[in-house]
Amino acid sequence: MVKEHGWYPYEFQSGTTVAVAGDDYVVVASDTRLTENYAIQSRTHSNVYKMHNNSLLLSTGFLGDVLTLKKTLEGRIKTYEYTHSKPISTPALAQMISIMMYGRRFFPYYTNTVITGLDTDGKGCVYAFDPVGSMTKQLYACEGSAMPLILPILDARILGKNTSNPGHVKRTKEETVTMIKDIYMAACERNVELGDGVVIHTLTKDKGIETDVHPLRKD
Amino acid sequence: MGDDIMSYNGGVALAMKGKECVAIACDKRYGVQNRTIATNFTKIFQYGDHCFVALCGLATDVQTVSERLKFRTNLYELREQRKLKPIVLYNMLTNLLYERRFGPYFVYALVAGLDPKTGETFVYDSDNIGAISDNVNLATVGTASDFIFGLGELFFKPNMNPDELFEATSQALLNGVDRDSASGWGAIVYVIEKDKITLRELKGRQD
Repeated sequence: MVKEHGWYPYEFQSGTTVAVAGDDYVVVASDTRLTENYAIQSRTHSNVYKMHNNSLLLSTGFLGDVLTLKKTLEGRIKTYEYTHSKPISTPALAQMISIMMYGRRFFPYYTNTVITGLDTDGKGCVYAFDPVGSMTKQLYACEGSAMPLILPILDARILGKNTSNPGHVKRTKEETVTMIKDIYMAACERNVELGDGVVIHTLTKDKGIETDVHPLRKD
Repeated sequence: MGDDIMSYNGGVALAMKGKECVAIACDKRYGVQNRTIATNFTKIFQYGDHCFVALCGLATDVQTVSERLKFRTNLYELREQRKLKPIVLYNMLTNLLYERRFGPYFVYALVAGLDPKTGETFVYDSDNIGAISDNVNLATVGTASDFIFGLGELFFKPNMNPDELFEATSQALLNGVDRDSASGWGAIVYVIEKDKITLRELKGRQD
Protein backbone atom coordinates (compact mmCIF):
# COMPACT_ATOMS: atom_id res chain seq x y z
CA MET A 1 0.00 0.00 0.00
CA VAL A 2 1.29 3.41 -0.87
CA LYS A 3 1.24 5.89 1.99
CA GLU A 4 0.90 9.46 0.95
CA HIS A 5 3.34 11.79 2.63
CA GLY A 6 2.52 15.39 3.16
CA TRP A 7 3.74 18.29 5.21
CA TYR A 8 1.12 20.34 6.96
CA PRO A 9 2.31 23.70 8.21
CA TYR A 10 -0.30 24.00 10.98
CA GLU A 11 -1.17 22.34 14.28
CA PHE A 12 -4.20 23.07 16.41
CA GLN A 13 -3.16 23.56 20.00
CA SER A 14 -6.51 24.55 21.42
CA GLY A 15 -7.19 26.88 24.28
CA THR A 16 -10.49 28.58 24.96
CA THR A 17 -10.88 32.31 25.48
CA VAL A 18 -13.79 34.45 26.63
CA ALA A 19 -14.04 38.24 26.57
CA VAL A 20 -16.87 40.35 27.98
CA ALA A 21 -17.11 44.13 27.57
CA GLY A 22 -18.74 46.23 30.29
CA ASP A 23 -19.54 49.93 30.60
CA ASP A 24 -16.26 50.70 32.36
CA TYR A 25 -14.40 47.42 32.28
CA VAL A 26 -13.38 44.46 30.23
CA VAL A 27 -13.13 40.94 31.63
CA VAL A 28 -11.12 38.38 29.67
CA ALA A 29 -10.42 34.75 30.45
CA SER A 30 -8.40 31.88 29.11
CA ASP A 31 -7.91 28.30 30.20
CA THR A 32 -4.32 27.24 30.81
CA ARG A 33 -4.20 23.92 28.99
CA LEU A 34 -2.14 23.58 25.84
CA THR A 35 -2.72 20.42 23.81
CA GLU A 36 -1.59 18.78 20.62
CA ASN A 37 -4.00 16.06 19.56
CA TYR A 38 -4.71 14.26 22.86
CA ALA A 39 -1.37 15.11 24.50
CA ILE A 40 -1.13 17.87 27.07
CA GLN A 41 1.84 20.11 26.24
CA SER A 42 1.37 22.53 29.14
CA ARG A 43 -0.95 23.04 32.10
CA THR A 44 0.09 26.65 32.69
CA HIS A 45 -0.13 28.29 29.30
CA SER A 46 -2.49 31.26 29.16
CA ASN A 47 -3.75 32.54 25.81
CA VAL A 48 -4.00 36.14 27.03
CA TYR A 49 -1.20 38.51 26.05
CA LYS A 50 -0.81 41.98 27.52
CA MET A 51 0.08 44.47 24.83
CA HIS A 52 2.15 47.61 25.38
CA ASN A 53 -0.86 49.96 25.31
CA ASN A 54 -2.80 47.98 27.98
CA SER A 55 -4.91 46.16 25.39
CA LEU A 56 -5.32 42.43 25.93
CA LEU A 57 -4.78 40.09 23.01
CA LEU A 58 -6.54 36.71 23.16
CA SER A 59 -5.34 34.28 20.57
CA THR A 60 -5.85 30.54 20.20
CA GLY A 61 -5.13 28.08 17.43
CA PHE A 62 -1.61 27.31 16.20
CA LEU A 63 0.80 28.55 18.87
CA GLY A 64 3.56 29.26 16.34
CA ASP A 65 1.27 31.69 14.52
CA VAL A 66 -0.09 33.10 17.79
CA LEU A 67 3.41 34.00 18.96
CA THR A 68 4.44 35.36 15.57
CA LEU A 69 1.30 37.47 15.41
CA LYS A 70 1.97 38.80 18.90
CA LYS A 71 5.66 39.54 18.17
CA THR A 72 4.91 41.31 14.89
CA LEU A 73 2.14 43.26 16.57
CA GLU A 74 4.41 44.42 19.41
CA GLY A 75 6.82 45.78 16.80
CA ARG A 76 4.01 47.56 14.93
CA ILE A 77 2.71 49.09 18.18
CA LYS A 78 6.14 50.57 18.97
CA THR A 79 6.52 51.94 15.42
CA TYR A 80 3.07 53.54 15.78
CA GLU A 81 4.05 55.13 19.10
CA TYR A 82 7.31 56.51 17.68
CA THR A 83 5.69 57.97 14.56
CA HIS A 84 2.56 59.38 16.24
CA SER A 85 4.01 60.18 19.71
CA LYS A 86 1.01 58.66 21.50
CA PRO A 87 -0.10 55.18 22.55
CA ILE A 88 -2.31 53.33 20.06
CA SER A 89 -6.00 53.09 20.99
CA THR A 90 -7.66 49.67 21.10
CA PRO A 91 -9.98 50.39 18.12
CA ALA A 92 -6.95 51.50 16.05
CA LEU A 93 -5.05 48.40 17.14
CA ALA A 94 -7.97 46.23 16.04
CA GLN A 95 -7.87 47.84 12.59
CA MET A 96 -4.11 47.24 12.47
CA ILE A 97 -4.53 43.54 13.30
CA SER A 98 -7.21 43.18 10.64
CA ILE A 99 -4.87 44.62 7.99
CA MET A 100 -1.93 42.50 9.17
CA MET A 101 -4.00 39.32 9.04
CA TYR A 102 -5.47 40.07 5.61
CA GLY A 103 -1.90 40.68 4.43
CA ARG A 104 -1.46 36.94 4.87
CA ARG A 105 -4.65 36.13 2.96
CA PHE A 106 -3.07 33.21 1.09
CA PHE A 107 -0.98 31.75 3.95
CA PRO A 108 -3.02 32.83 6.97
CA TYR A 109 -2.09 32.98 10.61
CA TYR A 110 -4.03 29.95 11.90
CA THR A 111 -5.45 31.80 14.88
CA ASN A 112 -8.76 32.80 16.39
CA THR A 113 -7.97 36.24 17.67
CA VAL A 114 -9.80 38.68 19.91
CA ILE A 115 -8.46 42.07 20.99
CA THR A 116 -9.98 43.82 23.99
CA GLY A 117 -9.35 47.02 25.85
CA LEU A 118 -10.89 50.31 26.84
CA ASP A 119 -11.80 52.86 24.20
CA THR A 120 -10.99 56.57 24.52
CA ASP A 121 -14.05 57.08 26.79
CA GLY A 122 -12.95 54.26 29.12
CA LYS A 123 -15.71 51.97 27.84
CA GLY A 124 -14.92 48.29 27.37
CA CYS A 125 -14.56 47.06 23.79
CA VAL A 126 -14.10 43.62 22.22
CA TYR A 127 -13.09 42.99 18.60
CA ALA A 128 -13.09 39.46 17.21
CA PHE A 129 -11.34 38.27 14.04
CA ASP A 130 -11.43 35.26 11.79
CA PRO A 131 -8.07 33.82 10.58
CA VAL A 132 -7.96 36.14 7.56
CA GLY A 133 -8.76 39.38 9.39
CA SER A 134 -12.52 39.84 9.09
CA MET A 135 -13.36 41.98 12.12
CA THR A 136 -16.48 42.63 14.19
CA LYS A 137 -16.99 44.72 17.31
CA GLN A 138 -18.91 42.65 19.85
CA LEU A 139 -20.34 42.82 23.36
CA TYR A 140 -18.72 39.50 24.15
CA ALA A 141 -16.67 36.90 22.36
CA CYS A 142 -15.64 33.30 22.80
CA GLU A 143 -13.07 31.52 20.67
CA GLY A 144 -11.22 28.23 20.73
CA SER A 145 -11.97 24.57 21.22
CA ALA A 146 -14.82 24.87 23.76
CA MET A 147 -16.54 27.69 21.85
CA PRO A 148 -19.64 25.58 21.01
CA LEU A 149 -20.15 24.84 24.70
CA ILE A 150 -19.64 28.39 25.96
CA LEU A 151 -21.11 30.68 23.30
CA PRO A 152 -24.80 29.77 23.85
CA ILE A 153 -24.29 30.21 27.61
CA LEU A 154 -23.08 33.76 26.99
CA ASP A 155 -26.10 34.36 24.70
CA ALA A 156 -28.41 33.30 27.50
CA ARG A 157 -26.62 35.10 30.32
CA ILE A 158 -25.52 38.35 28.68
CA LEU A 159 -28.29 38.95 26.14
CA GLY A 160 -31.02 37.25 28.20
CA LYS A 161 -32.02 35.12 25.19
CA ASN A 162 -35.14 32.94 25.55
CA THR A 163 -36.34 34.67 28.70
CA SER A 164 -39.57 36.58 29.26
CA ASN A 165 -37.52 39.78 29.41
CA PRO A 166 -34.80 39.59 26.74
CA GLY A 167 -32.12 42.26 26.42
CA HIS A 168 -28.63 43.15 27.54
CA VAL A 169 -28.11 42.16 31.19
CA LYS A 170 -25.78 44.66 32.87
CA ARG A 171 -23.30 43.19 35.35
CA THR A 172 -20.63 44.52 37.67
CA LYS A 173 -17.13 43.31 36.97
CA GLU A 174 -17.24 41.04 40.04
CA GLU A 175 -20.47 39.42 38.81
CA THR A 176 -18.91 38.93 35.37
CA VAL A 177 -15.84 37.23 36.88
CA THR A 178 -18.08 34.84 38.88
CA MET A 179 -20.15 34.09 35.78
CA ILE A 180 -17.05 33.28 33.73
CA LYS A 181 -15.69 30.98 36.46
CA ASP A 182 -18.98 29.05 36.52
CA ILE A 183 -18.99 28.78 32.73
CA TYR A 184 -15.44 27.39 32.60
CA MET A 185 -16.27 24.88 35.34
CA ALA A 186 -19.28 23.69 33.31
CA ALA A 187 -17.39 23.55 30.01
CA CYS A 188 -14.38 21.63 31.39
CA GLU A 189 -16.73 18.78 32.34
CA ARG A 190 -17.40 18.08 28.68
CA ASN A 191 -14.38 19.24 26.67
CA VAL A 192 -11.11 17.31 26.88
CA GLU A 193 -9.10 20.24 25.53
CA LEU A 194 -10.23 22.55 28.32
CA GLY A 195 -8.95 22.16 31.86
CA ASP A 196 -6.17 22.66 34.42
CA GLY A 197 -7.01 26.26 35.24
CA VAL A 198 -8.61 29.50 34.14
CA VAL A 199 -6.95 32.91 34.28
CA ILE A 200 -9.31 35.86 34.49
CA HIS A 201 -8.07 39.40 33.89
CA THR A 202 -10.17 42.45 34.70
CA LEU A 203 -9.17 45.68 32.97
CA THR A 204 -10.40 49.02 34.34
CA LYS A 205 -9.30 52.61 33.81
CA ASP A 206 -8.30 53.27 37.46
CA LYS A 207 -6.93 49.90 38.54
CA GLY A 208 -5.39 48.64 35.31
CA ILE A 209 -5.20 44.87 34.97
CA GLU A 210 -6.20 42.68 37.94
CA THR A 211 -5.63 38.94 37.62
CA ASP A 212 -7.51 36.04 39.18
CA VAL A 213 -6.50 32.40 38.78
CA HIS A 214 -8.94 29.57 39.41
CA PRO A 215 -8.09 25.84 39.25
CA LEU A 216 -10.10 23.49 37.00
CA ARG A 217 -10.15 19.70 36.77
CA LYS A 218 -6.87 18.29 35.52
CA ASP A 219 -8.01 15.07 33.80
CA MET B 1 -22.44 20.22 7.46
CA GLY B 2 -20.77 18.90 4.31
CA ASP B 3 -21.41 15.27 3.36
CA ASP B 4 -21.95 13.93 6.88
CA ILE B 5 -25.03 11.70 6.92
CA MET B 6 -25.59 12.35 10.62
CA SER B 7 -26.20 16.05 9.96
CA TYR B 8 -27.97 15.69 6.60
CA ASN B 9 -31.45 16.32 8.05
CA GLY B 10 -30.52 18.14 11.27
CA GLY B 11 -32.24 17.94 14.63
CA VAL B 12 -31.35 17.49 18.26
CA ALA B 13 -32.70 15.96 21.47
CA LEU B 14 -31.94 16.29 25.16
CA ALA B 15 -32.86 14.37 28.33
CA MET B 16 -32.33 15.39 31.93
CA LYS B 17 -33.05 13.89 35.34
CA GLY B 18 -34.82 15.46 38.30
CA LYS B 19 -36.12 14.16 41.62
CA GLU B 20 -38.66 11.47 40.78
CA CYS B 21 -39.10 13.07 37.37
CA VAL B 22 -37.32 13.05 34.06
CA ALA B 23 -37.54 15.35 31.03
CA ILE B 24 -36.95 14.59 27.38
CA ALA B 25 -37.08 17.25 24.67
CA CYS B 26 -36.39 17.67 20.97
CA ASP B 27 -36.58 20.31 18.24
CA LYS B 28 -39.05 20.22 15.35
CA ARG B 29 -36.97 20.93 12.25
CA TYR B 30 -36.74 18.54 9.34
CA GLY B 31 -34.42 19.76 6.61
CA VAL B 32 -32.24 18.64 3.75
CA GLN B 33 -28.87 20.24 4.36
CA ASN B 34 -29.51 24.02 4.40
CA ARG B 35 -33.12 23.85 3.21
CA THR B 36 -35.89 23.49 5.79
CA ILE B 37 -38.64 21.14 4.57
CA ALA B 38 -40.92 20.86 7.60
CA THR B 39 -41.18 22.39 11.04
CA ASN B 40 -43.30 19.75 12.76
CA PHE B 41 -40.91 16.82 12.73
CA THR B 42 -40.63 15.62 16.31
CA LYS B 43 -38.12 12.93 17.20
CA ILE B 44 -39.53 11.58 20.49
CA PHE B 45 -41.48 8.32 20.58
CA GLN B 46 -43.40 6.82 23.49
CA TYR B 47 -43.19 3.10 24.23
CA GLY B 48 -45.35 2.15 27.20
CA ASP B 49 -46.50 4.40 30.01
CA HIS B 50 -43.23 5.87 31.30
CA CYS B 51 -40.73 5.05 28.54
CA PHE B 52 -39.57 7.47 25.85
CA VAL B 53 -37.00 7.31 23.08
CA ALA B 54 -35.55 10.20 21.10
CA LEU B 55 -33.81 9.44 17.79
CA CYS B 56 -31.62 11.94 15.95
CA GLY B 57 -29.78 11.64 12.69
CA LEU B 58 -30.94 10.56 9.24
CA ALA B 59 -34.72 11.12 9.19
CA THR B 60 -35.52 7.96 7.20
CA ASP B 61 -33.64 5.88 9.78
CA VAL B 62 -35.34 7.75 12.64
CA GLN B 63 -38.67 6.56 11.23
CA THR B 64 -37.46 3.03 10.47
CA VAL B 65 -35.86 2.49 13.88
CA SER B 66 -38.85 3.95 15.73
CA GLU B 67 -41.24 1.64 13.82
CA ARG B 68 -39.07 -1.47 14.26
CA LEU B 69 -38.74 -0.70 17.95
CA LYS B 70 -42.52 -0.32 18.18
CA PHE B 71 -42.90 -3.75 16.58
CA ARG B 72 -40.48 -5.36 19.02
CA THR B 73 -41.88 -3.68 22.14
CA ASN B 74 -45.41 -4.71 21.15
CA LEU B 75 -44.26 -8.31 20.72
CA TYR B 76 -42.45 -8.16 24.06
CA GLU B 77 -45.55 -7.00 25.93
CA LEU B 78 -47.70 -9.67 24.24
CA ARG B 79 -45.27 -12.51 24.80
CA GLU B 80 -44.15 -11.58 28.32
CA GLN B 81 -47.53 -10.23 29.52
CA ARG B 82 -45.90 -7.34 31.39
CA LYS B 83 -45.15 -3.65 30.94
CA LEU B 84 -41.95 -2.45 29.39
CA LYS B 85 -39.31 -1.06 31.77
CA PRO B 86 -36.87 1.66 30.65
CA ILE B 87 -33.84 -0.63 30.97
CA VAL B 88 -35.57 -3.32 28.90
CA LEU B 89 -36.45 -0.77 26.23
CA TYR B 90 -32.86 0.46 26.22
CA ASN B 91 -31.48 -3.06 25.83
CA MET B 92 -33.92 -3.78 23.00
CA LEU B 93 -32.93 -0.59 21.23
CA THR B 94 -29.17 -1.09 21.50
CA ASN B 95 -29.64 -4.70 20.42
CA LEU B 96 -31.63 -3.59 17.39
CA LEU B 97 -28.92 -1.08 16.48
CA TYR B 98 -26.07 -3.56 16.95
CA GLU B 99 -27.75 -6.06 14.60
CA ARG B 100 -26.76 -3.59 11.88
CA ARG B 101 -23.16 -3.30 13.15
CA PHE B 102 -21.65 -3.34 9.65
CA GLY B 103 -24.33 -1.37 7.83
CA PRO B 104 -25.66 0.81 10.60
CA TYR B 105 -28.73 2.98 10.96
CA PHE B 106 -27.54 6.58 11.03
CA VAL B 107 -29.24 7.52 14.29
CA TYR B 108 -28.11 8.43 17.77
CA ALA B 109 -30.59 7.57 20.50
CA LEU B 110 -31.72 8.70 23.93
CA VAL B 111 -33.88 6.72 26.32
CA ALA B 112 -35.67 8.44 29.18
CA GLY B 113 -37.94 6.69 31.64
CA LEU B 114 -39.25 6.35 35.15
CA ASP B 115 -40.26 3.55 37.46
CA PRO B 116 -43.82 4.57 38.50
CA LYS B 117 -43.60 2.66 41.79
CA THR B 118 -40.21 3.73 43.15
CA GLY B 119 -39.79 6.98 41.22
CA GLU B 120 -36.36 5.85 40.06
CA THR B 121 -35.26 7.75 36.94
CA PHE B 122 -33.45 6.51 33.85
CA VAL B 123 -31.59 8.43 31.16
CA TYR B 124 -29.41 6.57 28.68
CA ASP B 125 -27.81 7.44 25.37
CA SER B 126 -26.42 5.38 22.54
CA ASP B 127 -24.42 5.82 19.35
CA ASN B 128 -25.59 4.51 15.98
CA ILE B 129 -24.24 0.97 16.56
CA GLY B 130 -25.77 0.52 20.00
CA ALA B 131 -22.98 1.26 22.46
CA ILE B 132 -24.52 1.16 25.93
CA SER B 133 -24.14 4.00 28.43
CA ASP B 134 -24.46 4.38 32.18
CA ASN B 135 -27.66 5.74 33.69
CA VAL B 136 -26.63 9.41 33.38
CA ASN B 137 -27.99 12.74 34.65
CA LEU B 138 -27.85 14.51 31.33
CA ALA B 139 -27.63 13.32 27.74
CA THR B 140 -27.96 15.02 24.38
CA VAL B 141 -27.65 13.82 20.80
CA GLY B 142 -27.95 15.54 17.43
CA THR B 143 -26.44 18.41 15.47
CA ALA B 144 -26.60 20.94 18.33
CA SER B 145 -25.40 18.55 21.03
CA ASP B 146 -22.11 20.40 21.63
CA PHE B 147 -24.00 23.67 22.10
CA ILE B 148 -26.44 21.99 24.49
CA PHE B 149 -23.83 20.11 26.56
CA GLY B 150 -22.31 23.36 27.86
CA LEU B 151 -25.71 24.79 28.79
CA GLY B 152 -26.96 21.49 30.22
CA GLU B 153 -23.90 21.13 32.41
CA LEU B 154 -24.49 24.65 33.76
CA PHE B 155 -28.27 24.37 34.25
CA PHE B 156 -28.35 20.84 35.68
CA LYS B 157 -28.71 20.58 39.46
CA PRO B 158 -29.34 17.32 41.36
CA ASN B 159 -32.91 16.69 42.63
CA MET B 160 -34.81 19.31 40.65
CA ASN B 161 -38.60 19.35 40.98
CA PRO B 162 -40.68 18.96 37.77
CA ASP B 163 -40.98 22.74 37.19
CA GLU B 164 -37.28 23.37 37.68
CA LEU B 165 -36.48 20.41 35.45
CA PHE B 166 -38.75 21.73 32.69
CA GLU B 167 -37.14 25.16 32.90
CA ALA B 168 -33.57 23.80 32.83
CA THR B 169 -34.31 21.45 29.92
CA SER B 170 -36.13 24.12 27.87
CA GLN B 171 -33.46 26.75 28.45
CA ALA B 172 -30.65 24.36 27.50
CA LEU B 173 -32.47 23.25 24.35
CA LEU B 174 -33.66 26.66 23.14
CA ASN B 175 -30.37 28.48 23.68
CA GLY B 176 -28.49 25.57 22.14
CA VAL B 177 -30.53 25.32 18.93
CA ASP B 178 -30.33 29.09 18.42
CA ARG B 179 -26.61 28.65 17.64
CA ASP B 180 -27.22 25.74 15.26
CA SER B 181 -28.57 26.25 11.75
CA ALA B 182 -29.57 22.60 11.31
CA SER B 183 -31.97 22.43 14.25
CA GLY B 184 -34.61 24.60 15.89
CA TRP B 185 -38.02 25.82 14.67
CA GLY B 186 -39.66 25.22 18.02
CA ALA B 187 -39.41 22.34 20.43
CA ILE B 188 -41.42 19.87 22.49
CA VAL B 189 -40.68 18.92 26.09
CA TYR B 190 -42.05 15.89 27.93
CA VAL B 191 -41.85 15.91 31.72
CA ILE B 192 -42.42 12.39 33.04
CA GLU B 193 -43.62 12.02 36.65
CA LYS B 194 -45.01 9.08 38.62
CA ASP B 195 -48.66 10.03 38.18
CA LYS B 196 -48.60 12.20 35.06
CA ILE B 197 -46.82 13.03 31.84
CA THR B 198 -46.84 16.64 30.67
CA LEU B 199 -46.18 17.62 27.05
CA ARG B 200 -45.36 21.25 26.39
CA GLU B 201 -44.71 22.88 23.02
CA LEU B 202 -42.17 25.69 22.87
CA LYS B 203 -42.13 28.25 20.10
CA GLY B 204 -38.55 29.57 20.21
CA ARG B 205 -36.88 31.37 17.32
CA GLN B 206 -38.44 30.61 13.96
CA ASP B 207 -35.30 30.84 11.81
